[in-house]
Amino acid sequence: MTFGSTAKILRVNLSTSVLEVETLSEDFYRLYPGGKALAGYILLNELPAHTEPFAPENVLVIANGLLTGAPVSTATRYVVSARSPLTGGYGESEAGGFWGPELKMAGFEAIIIKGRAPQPVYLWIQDGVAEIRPAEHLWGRTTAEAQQAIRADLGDEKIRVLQIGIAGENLVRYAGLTNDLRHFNGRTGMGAVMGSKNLRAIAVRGSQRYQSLAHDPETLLTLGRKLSKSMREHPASWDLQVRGTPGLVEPLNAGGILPTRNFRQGAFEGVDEVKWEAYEQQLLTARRSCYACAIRCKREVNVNGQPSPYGGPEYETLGAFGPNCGISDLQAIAKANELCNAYVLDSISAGVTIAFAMECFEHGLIGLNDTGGIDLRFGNAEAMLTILEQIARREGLGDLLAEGSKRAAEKIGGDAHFFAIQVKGQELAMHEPRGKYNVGMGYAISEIGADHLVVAHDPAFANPEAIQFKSAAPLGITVAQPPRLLNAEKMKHFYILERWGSMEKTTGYCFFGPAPRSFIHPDDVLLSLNAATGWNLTLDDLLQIGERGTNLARIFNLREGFTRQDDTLPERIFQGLENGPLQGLGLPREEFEQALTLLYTLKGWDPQTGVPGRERLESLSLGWAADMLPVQTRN
Amino acid sequence: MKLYAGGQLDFYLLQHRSWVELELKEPTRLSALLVELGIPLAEVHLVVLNGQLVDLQEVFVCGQDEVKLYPAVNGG
Repeated sequence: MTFGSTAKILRVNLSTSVLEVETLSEDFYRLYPGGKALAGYILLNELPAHTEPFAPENVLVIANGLLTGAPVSTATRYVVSARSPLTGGYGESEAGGFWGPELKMAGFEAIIIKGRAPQPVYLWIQDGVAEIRPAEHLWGRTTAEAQQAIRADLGDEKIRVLQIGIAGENLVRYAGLTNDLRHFNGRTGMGAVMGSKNLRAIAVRGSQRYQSLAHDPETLLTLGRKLSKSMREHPASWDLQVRGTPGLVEPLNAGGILPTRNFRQGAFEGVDEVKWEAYEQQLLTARRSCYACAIRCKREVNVNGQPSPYGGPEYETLGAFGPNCGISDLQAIAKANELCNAYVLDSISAGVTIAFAMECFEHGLIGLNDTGGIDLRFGNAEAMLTILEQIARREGLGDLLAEGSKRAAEKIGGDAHFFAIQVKGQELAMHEPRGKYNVGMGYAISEIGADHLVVAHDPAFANPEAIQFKSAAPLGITVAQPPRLLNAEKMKHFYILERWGSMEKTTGYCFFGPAPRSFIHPDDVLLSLNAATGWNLTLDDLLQIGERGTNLARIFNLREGFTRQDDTLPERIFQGLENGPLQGLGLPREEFEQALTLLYTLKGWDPQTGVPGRERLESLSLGWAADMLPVQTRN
Repeated sequence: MKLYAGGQLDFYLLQHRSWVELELKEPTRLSALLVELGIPLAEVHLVVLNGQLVDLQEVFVCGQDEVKLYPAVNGG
């Protein structure tokens, strides 16, 4: 028996309507214990290279982490993976909420979806039994309407619904998935892949308890209780409890690292209108949590004075539709968040792509004829909302912007490519890399394109006496470094933190759970996983689990033709910011390239090409994957 | 003077208040004041005095000064 896991995968072929259940061996699951690592293994082995993202042959993997559903705060996450229609590379997006735990309670660790249904369908899973059901009546509906209809169809208000919206139906390349209308797999266009399969939703209901799967349920429960208590007494999780991610707006602005007007600036003159105090006064109605999580960082809101059926805007959404579009109208930003949730668009890519269009408009690269008469300047909230609607529906200029900023820039031509703030085709998140160099390195090297959750952010490691810094010592981070520096020690930080983050994405932990980002000591992370599995893992084992996941994704991308030249940053980031405390400062290109070489070396990759070496792959039990590298890249 | 403890820094203040008003009779070293208030200096990443970023170790405050403190914030 595999403890900590149901060891079951549901395989769904939508072309043939065949459903099969596969049982995983413990030896296999120990190497690929869910989430990122499991998805990476499946994609490399079952998805032929160069498969078109919207072809029926693309493989959509939805995978819980090992610990997802355990009675431990922040262990709620699942990943959704496929070849990304936004980047053409490895697609991946994580979310929390209640759906992942419910899937485990219903008996499955993962779902592998292939083929394309002839008509819209949804999948219904209850306690080990799955069924494909018609969904024509859901197509074109908002997520709130569709969730209500599914629950009514099945006669159970407690069913958890994971679904796409009309953006996914319309193949917007950065369409996502949502569960419970307020938890999102936003990034890399996984909703568009699901839409291309004519799969609108996956409804689940389960009655199993995680404790029945655990090797040592008593230790797990005791640890869960201890963490819930310690979380309330820990400063690193305090701000998440009180403000949630919207609390980031003001401190980032003070440091000059709040992306503003398409990353031209780092400070926003309208910050007081969009910071937490304004949010609390104008929008906030309640605080909510994910499954079994004591932090309660989710927010419920009113929009234009009316209760919203969707969750409140997170920091990323506030930043992307607010300062980055030059907009300080908080109600308009909240409305944009509601539209993204109702239609399921990645709010980061949507906001940054609209900011891109605003800059193109201000430079005359697109005009009123292109926008249908919309004055698409920075700061025009009404224009932002209109374009957002158009993107979801692929109408007017929205049809072009639905392709993402990189493809749109290629179509517009001229200097438009300079205004596309993206890596590998995916837009940067709301964290300014010119003030946090390892965040920049994360944007550059991430296999999914610009991703802000590759490593815990640099400022946490600047002061050797700070709580977050000290909590990273068990992982091997012992020498503090300034945020605006790239050197060998910083690359050591990166290499450790990247593996730790990848481990979180594999085991189901949220970025807001484990140290150094938050309050769960690495020893308690270890204890939770060992109590679940009985595997007697060490911290080194956990780092190796993480490293396995990043290497699988790297090989996936190399197989698709990615090279070192793709591990870079937008040209703008190498230039100086226009305002704020970091005015005039850019990320030094030469230092960046040298650091990238150092990092490749630490990772056991060829220092020049970034191709994983066979020796390192074999040490990770990934010798088989070395044979999947393109012949010309093998070393 | 008025002092704002941003981010998780209000965790350390009495009743977790974000704003504190203090009467200072003479210019006072900010770092000493924060120690008195129970805010660990290592947790203070940025100090904004009357709208300008300043160095925590060097700054003195008094009278009508407004000080905003921010911790090192992470992603999410």
